[in-house]
Amino acid sequence: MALDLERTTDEQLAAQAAREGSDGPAFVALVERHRDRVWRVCYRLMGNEADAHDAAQEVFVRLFVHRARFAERSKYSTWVHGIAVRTCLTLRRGRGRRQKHEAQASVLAEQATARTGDAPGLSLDLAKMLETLDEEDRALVILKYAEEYSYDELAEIFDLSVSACKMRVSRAREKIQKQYGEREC
Amino acid sequence: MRKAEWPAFRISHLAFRISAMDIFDQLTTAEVPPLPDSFDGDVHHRLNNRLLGLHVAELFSKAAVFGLLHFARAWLGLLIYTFSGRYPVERRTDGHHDRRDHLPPRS
Repeated sequence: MALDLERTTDEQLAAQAAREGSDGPAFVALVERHRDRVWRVCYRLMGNEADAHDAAQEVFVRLFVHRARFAERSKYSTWVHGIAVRTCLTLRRGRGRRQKHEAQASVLAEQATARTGDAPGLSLDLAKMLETLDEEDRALVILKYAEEYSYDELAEIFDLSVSACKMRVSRAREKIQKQYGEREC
Repeated sequence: MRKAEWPAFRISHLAFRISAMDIFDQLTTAEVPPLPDSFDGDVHHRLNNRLLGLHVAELFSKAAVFGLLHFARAWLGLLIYTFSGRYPVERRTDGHHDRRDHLPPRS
């Protein structure tokens, strides 16, 4: 029986995709539905377009490989975003040497923007401040403030309690505020 | 004298808090570039490569197990033949006897 892809829920599509042997219509429909949000999350967490492109592709590959593991304990979108976050964190942890190179590049870019007085200097400051946080805390703060996830969603994605999420976001904010204040002094 | 410095400290502390709040606001307004046009094709291509790799790995892992089991019998037979002079022959269950069972052992 053919599925009406537009009216079908994510969960029904996921069940259909799990039965498909290859990336068939159900999986393609799921990619179409979630690619923009996954791309945004990957871009926010990875910090540049090339790494975000790589991460977002990896997310959908993992989604396909593990498509039968979705157990409907949470919403499908939350499950997808959880995979996206974990993939980005894994890639960021693994890129070690490249980070050094990027840090040097960002310093050069910062110097360039400081000379011209352009506004992007502010976002570089922000990126630098966020880099001082622990990887998971950084992801929590970005998803909370940039993508406006609720604490309930964050708790499911990071497999934490809601109160633990609130505490970690609050501590991350305090840490940034403290460091930002010290630098300004 | 010290107390007179307090308001200045409080104002600067408040300023830090406000600037930190502004920093978090930047996160919301920071632009995200559009999804690359080649994204779907790239995902498909990467998925094909990954699946090919997984299938090849699965094939080799299963073939390796089959090969080990298959050749283990031959190795076992070789060892038994080396020490006993007889190659182990499976007993047939259909009433026929393997002719080699009646052969005398090699001297």
